[in-house]
Amino acid sequence: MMRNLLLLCFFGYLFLPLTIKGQSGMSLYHMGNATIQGSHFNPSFIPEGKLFLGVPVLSGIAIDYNSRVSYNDIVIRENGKKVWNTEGFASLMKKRNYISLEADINTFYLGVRANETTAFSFFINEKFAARTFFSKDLIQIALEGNSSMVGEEIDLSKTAGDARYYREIGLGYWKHFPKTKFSFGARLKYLIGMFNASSSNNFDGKVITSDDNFNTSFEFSNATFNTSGVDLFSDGSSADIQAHVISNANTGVGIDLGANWQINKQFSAAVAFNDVGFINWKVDPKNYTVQDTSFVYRGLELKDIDDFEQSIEDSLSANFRDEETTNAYKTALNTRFYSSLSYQLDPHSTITGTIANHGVSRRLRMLYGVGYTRKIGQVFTVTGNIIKAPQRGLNLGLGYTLDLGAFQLYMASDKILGLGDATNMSAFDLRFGINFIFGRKKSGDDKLPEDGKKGGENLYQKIPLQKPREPYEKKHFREV
Amino acid sequence: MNKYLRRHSIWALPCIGLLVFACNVGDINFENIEDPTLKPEVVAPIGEVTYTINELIEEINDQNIIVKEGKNLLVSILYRDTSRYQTPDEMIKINDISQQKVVEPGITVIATPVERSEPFSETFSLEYPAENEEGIDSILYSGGNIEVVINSQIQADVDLEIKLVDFVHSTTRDTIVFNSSLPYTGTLPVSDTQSSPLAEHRSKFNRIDPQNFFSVVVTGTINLKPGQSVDNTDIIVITVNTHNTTFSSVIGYFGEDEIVVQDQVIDIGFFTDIEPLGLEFEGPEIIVNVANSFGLPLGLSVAGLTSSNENGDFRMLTGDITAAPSKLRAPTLSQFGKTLNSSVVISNENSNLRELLSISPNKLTVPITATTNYENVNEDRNFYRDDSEVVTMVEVNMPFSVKLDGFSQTFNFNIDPVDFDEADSLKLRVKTVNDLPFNGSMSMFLLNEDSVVIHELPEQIILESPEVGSDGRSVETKTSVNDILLNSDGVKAIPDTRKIAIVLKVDSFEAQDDRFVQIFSDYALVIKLGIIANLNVTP
Repeated sequence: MMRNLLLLCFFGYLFLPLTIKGQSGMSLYHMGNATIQGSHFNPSFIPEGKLFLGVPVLSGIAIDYNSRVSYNDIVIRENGKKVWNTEGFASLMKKRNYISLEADINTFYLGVRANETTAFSFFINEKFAARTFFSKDLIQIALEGNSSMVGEEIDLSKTAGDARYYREIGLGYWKHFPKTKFSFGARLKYLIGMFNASSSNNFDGKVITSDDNFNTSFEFSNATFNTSGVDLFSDGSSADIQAHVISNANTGVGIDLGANWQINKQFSAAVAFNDVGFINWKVDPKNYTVQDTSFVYRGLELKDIDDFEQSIEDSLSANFRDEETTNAYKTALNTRFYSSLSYQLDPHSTITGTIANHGVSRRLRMLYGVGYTRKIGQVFTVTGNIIKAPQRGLNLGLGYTLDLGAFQLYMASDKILGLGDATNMSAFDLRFGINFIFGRKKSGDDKLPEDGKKGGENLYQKIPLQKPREPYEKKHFREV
Repeated sequence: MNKYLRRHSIWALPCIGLLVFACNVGDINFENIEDPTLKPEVVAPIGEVTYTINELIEEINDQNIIVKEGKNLLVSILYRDTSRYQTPDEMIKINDISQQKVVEPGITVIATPVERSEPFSETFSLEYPAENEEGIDSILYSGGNIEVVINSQIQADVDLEIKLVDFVHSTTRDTIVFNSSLPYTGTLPVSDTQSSPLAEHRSKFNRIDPQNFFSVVVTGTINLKPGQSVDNTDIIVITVNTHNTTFSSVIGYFGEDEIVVQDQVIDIGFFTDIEPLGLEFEGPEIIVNVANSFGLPLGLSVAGLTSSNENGDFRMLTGDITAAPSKLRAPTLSQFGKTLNSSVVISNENSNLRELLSISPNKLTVPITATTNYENVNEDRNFYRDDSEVVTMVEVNMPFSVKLDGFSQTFNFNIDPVDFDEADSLKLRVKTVNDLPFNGSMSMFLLNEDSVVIHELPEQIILESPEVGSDGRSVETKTSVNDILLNSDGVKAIPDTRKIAIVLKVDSFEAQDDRFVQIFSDYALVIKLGIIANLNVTP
């Protein structure tokens, strides 16, 4: 009864997507603990084995790009020449848009399972992410001018930009509770920021142009854009950059938390909060701020104008008072949340449903996925997924691991439809790498039910049900 | 094993696909892409300006203009010029006098054996002339001297008393008396000169046309010594002179003279930049206000008033107002020291003033002349004091009750060369919020450095008049929004443009029906300008 109640609560939570956050990489996530990279999504996912080693740099490379337009959408051929297709670009924009490019490199990973219920890990990751949020109105204004917006309110509050590159150096801890069939994982991360350029999360702005003589009202609040390390990368010497990349004063902390619960023989649920933390940007900080303002720009007072251009400049600067400061600032990490429910069809097959969210600048990017994961022998694990990602519609995701002894090759993508034609891709997701997993169970061990792991703490091991042997009836006796 | 692989081979293909994904990634090449040509249509406010009629008048930048607001808020513009006439000499000129009288004692004594004295006396009058034989009743002096010069031809000592009985101290009432002793020493003539200040003395005169006379009483004694003789033909010559006389007041009858009260030129900047045709004031007036403290009735003539403009055109005032002088009030003797005011109004009703203003004059020449003792049939006495003056204030009053019918005004703006090739077309959006009862249209011309028109924008309405009610006021504010298109040819002409000429044509409400409209001080015209630019930009 209690178990069913918990199950109900879990499903209820699962289908409250507007309050939940999530992130891409669904195909790799649905392979669960098949790879050590699974712990990046949920720290309670630890592969079978005793020692886990990620090949430096090659251990994990993840690239995720998401936009509404492909190369062919923005570059077309006219009279044999390539030209920018600005009209096509604008027509593909929706009311709200975003472009993101994320890349993770698992520089190093070392994990040790101390015993059947405890594991530790040490890892270093390089994380790069650039995201921008913008409305169709902004694109239309840039490409087509603002005349079509006359009389309409242009909401700039959803406009944001964030680019960051930082390194995380972390320790992971995993604990399994066999009695409750509950696993818990946590990863504490020390962060070193390399560069950042980000707009204020609280920015709010509205622009309305009147339809008579185009008087334009502006309302801006919290219009701040911060940068750190940008000048260093653009103007610094290679020695300065090298020293900065190794270590600098942009420091922060983060934590990943995850749990996995084997609800019953078929159902299991997992939940994870990742990247909860912040970075203090202290190196070469710049804060570009436009003071909060609300005014109607009516052009110039046309009496007594001496210098038209100067008058316009004076008029605008009187209302847009900008300032540049050099104060250190703090950015929150882009927290990711995963919530999933799995149903085990048989000892080799699992169906998993996941809702994920990636929070960027207080904006929610929702991701939904349903996947089928199949373990094929000891060598091959494969997953096929149907994924709904922002701006992408329904897509097919695929992932696999190839385990040859301790050697493991994995690859996963959340978007394989259209993957063969790079010029038509408006979104792209690929994760791949090479791991070494030592001390995995021998062949046959995996046929045991989970609670009957070899070397486990249970006193009794379950033996698969066997057909009763038929009674032996000797009808013919050998004559002696 | 084979069975196993066959069963799961379905997974193999997409996994292999993952390995060979996006094999044409090399086709993504951002080099050699032609820059796009963007054609955004951009709108922006240029600015706005609000004019009340007062501010519109201020734009004329005329220091002399005065804006007057009536009780009903009707606006008038005024030009004023004030002059002071303080020249009594033109009315009556009194010079210093030098009058001589030969006194004959009429005594005969031949070689008197003993000392003896022979008294004598004589009363006579001397002239005190004014120019043009104008009459003087009395004079109160503020300065100067009166002098008596005595030359005796009598060969004996003479004692004289010369009393100017008509010259009396204004306070003590004492007359001016000269006493002189003329001792004979063997040579003739025996002379003496005596003088007395005239300040604070009053003289009065007897008028015996055409001259003014004052009386002198001479009393004397001839003191003969033994052996001396006197003949009845012996004389004493008495000369009365005045020097440097100034007057506190003069009473008399100053005759009928023509005097120029004012000969002023009034600069009227209002019309300086306004083309003359099409603007008509309903009730302009030139008012000559006169404050007169001379005790002298004046007849004011404005017949010589003319208007002239920068082109040299001029108009002369004609009409009833110029047919005869206008009588100005003057204080009588009983009003001695007071100032009386008079006004002469020149209007469309009594003159051709509308015609004078129709040439958009920049100057108004006002040679106001006056005739003294105008219509003074009783010859009432005149006077003047040393502080008497005629103050004339000429006021050109133009109430803004106007009619604009085909009124056209050109505004020229010089511009620096503009390198502007990023627009296919431009539209100037003109929004007007108008209380003024005017309709307006605008044409624009682009001129090159040789002042040749290289592009012309057709005439377009930019201003619409509100209806005018029976009370003369606009019923409601009229808003109009109009776009003035500068097409691609016009945009191409911008780099060669050195001057922009804007021709503004304005008609007042129902001007075609000969209706005048009034402009009130609470009227405003709001002009809001915006621009719609079809740009052609290659980043």
